[in-house]
Amino acid sequence: MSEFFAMGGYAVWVWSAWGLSAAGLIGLVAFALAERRAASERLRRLENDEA
Amino acid sequence: MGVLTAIFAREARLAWAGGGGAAGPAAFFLAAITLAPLAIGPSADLLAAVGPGILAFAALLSVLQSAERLFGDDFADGTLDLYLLTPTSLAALCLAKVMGQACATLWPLPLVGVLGGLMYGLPPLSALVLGAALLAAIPALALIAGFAGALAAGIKRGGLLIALIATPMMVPVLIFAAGAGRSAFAGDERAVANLLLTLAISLGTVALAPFGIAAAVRGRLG
Amino acid sequence: MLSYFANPQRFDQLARIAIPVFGVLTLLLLGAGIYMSFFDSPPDYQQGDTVRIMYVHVPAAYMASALYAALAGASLVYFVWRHAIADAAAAVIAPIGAVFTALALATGSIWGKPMWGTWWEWDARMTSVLVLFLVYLGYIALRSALEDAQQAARAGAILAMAGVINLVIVKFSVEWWSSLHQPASVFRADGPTIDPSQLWPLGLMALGYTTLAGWLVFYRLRSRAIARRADALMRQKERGDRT
Repeated sequence: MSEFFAMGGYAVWVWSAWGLSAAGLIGLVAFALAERRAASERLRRLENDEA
Repeated sequence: MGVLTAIFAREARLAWAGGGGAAGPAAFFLAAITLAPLAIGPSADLLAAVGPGILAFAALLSVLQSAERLFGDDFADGTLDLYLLTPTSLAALCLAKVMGQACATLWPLPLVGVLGGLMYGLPPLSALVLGAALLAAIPALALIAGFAGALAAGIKRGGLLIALIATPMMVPVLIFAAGAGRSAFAGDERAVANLLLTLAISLGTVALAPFGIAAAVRGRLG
Repeated sequence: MLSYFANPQRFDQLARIAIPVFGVLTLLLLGAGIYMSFFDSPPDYQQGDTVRIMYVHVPAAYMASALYAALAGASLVYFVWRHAIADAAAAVIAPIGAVFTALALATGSIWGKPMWGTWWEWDARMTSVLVLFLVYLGYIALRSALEDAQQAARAGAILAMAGVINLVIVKFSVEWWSSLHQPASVFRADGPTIDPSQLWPLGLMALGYTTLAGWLVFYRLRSRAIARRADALMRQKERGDRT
């Protein structure tokens, strides 16, 4: 197991590259979800005011 | 034809008279040439080796200086709307406009470039090649700056935005113009090739950029 | 087909299907890709385990370029046919492309340190990606600086299309520029030879990145449609309040 994490001595490089990539992609998804939530909220509030 | 010469002359006159005219870009160029060795260190060999690159880069920045005013002023006072109404091709008008300003304000750059080359320890022939490369690069640099200026015409404090838009487009001409100077200094046979490529980029830009500028102006005004 | 989906309702129907499809595909492809990258691919005989960085670097770099091509294509469609959705697509793609480009630069730099010993190598490929990053930034900055949505759309479209022409020329000029200097180690992103055991994880990750981008674009486009409905409703209320 620890051999796996050691990545042949290159652990810091491999894991920071993969970590950054994961952060970037998850960040993009999170941003898209937050954007949708904000837009839906706004629409819902406006529609409810109508009623 | 009369309209185009009129635009060219007007632009040249305005650039010459207002804002320091040709002194503006030239002064900036000279300031940059002076600062670089202070940052790099006075080693003669190093300065001669990096000289062409620094000088080409500084010339590029000098051209960007006036980009905001080129279309920004006319956008603000409505002159640009008048351009749209003229029967003459908008692309031709934009070309005349940009080249008018360029001819009036950028002509010292090759001369200052040669001077700078000598100050950086380049042999006279290399410095002349660099000057020729800068001269060949000016149409491309001016038109790219004009294109960026037209896209961002009238945007408050648009200078930085214009620089951000323009710099990726100036990469090829920078590579070849600086390359010509470096090749002349290093004595390898690429100097003429780089010079011709710089000229080719400029000619291509003259052919294409006016249409981009015209589209940008129409988009900005519509 | 382009004009067919320019219709907002039809596009919305397309998006409703595309979003879950892309979402599921992304999870499957990335899941398989991650597994294969770590468990089904032996360390490279030359690079050791750092070859696993390739599985996130190459897909990111590929997406950086592919997304710009998509952005430029959407800009062309908008410029010629004025389909609002094409402009929306371009606007939505830009920040996504910028993030992929930044990831490509960062992972490329991290990969380079154990390989070349430097954090950055001024070679043709990485320099071109750096220029591409600037192009994305300029596009995003121009669009946000123009307050009028229509002007932002038009200016953006023109800049994007000019950017494509520029990037082609940049690629050639940067290769010319770097050809004078032979790098210390001849190093290609895929190594001297790409082993079949490396092709699978690479392909899966690349496809997974693509479907993720597809999900993001469609998802954001639907969010924009919702926001536009909210805007229209707000304008309606303001008009109603005034009467």
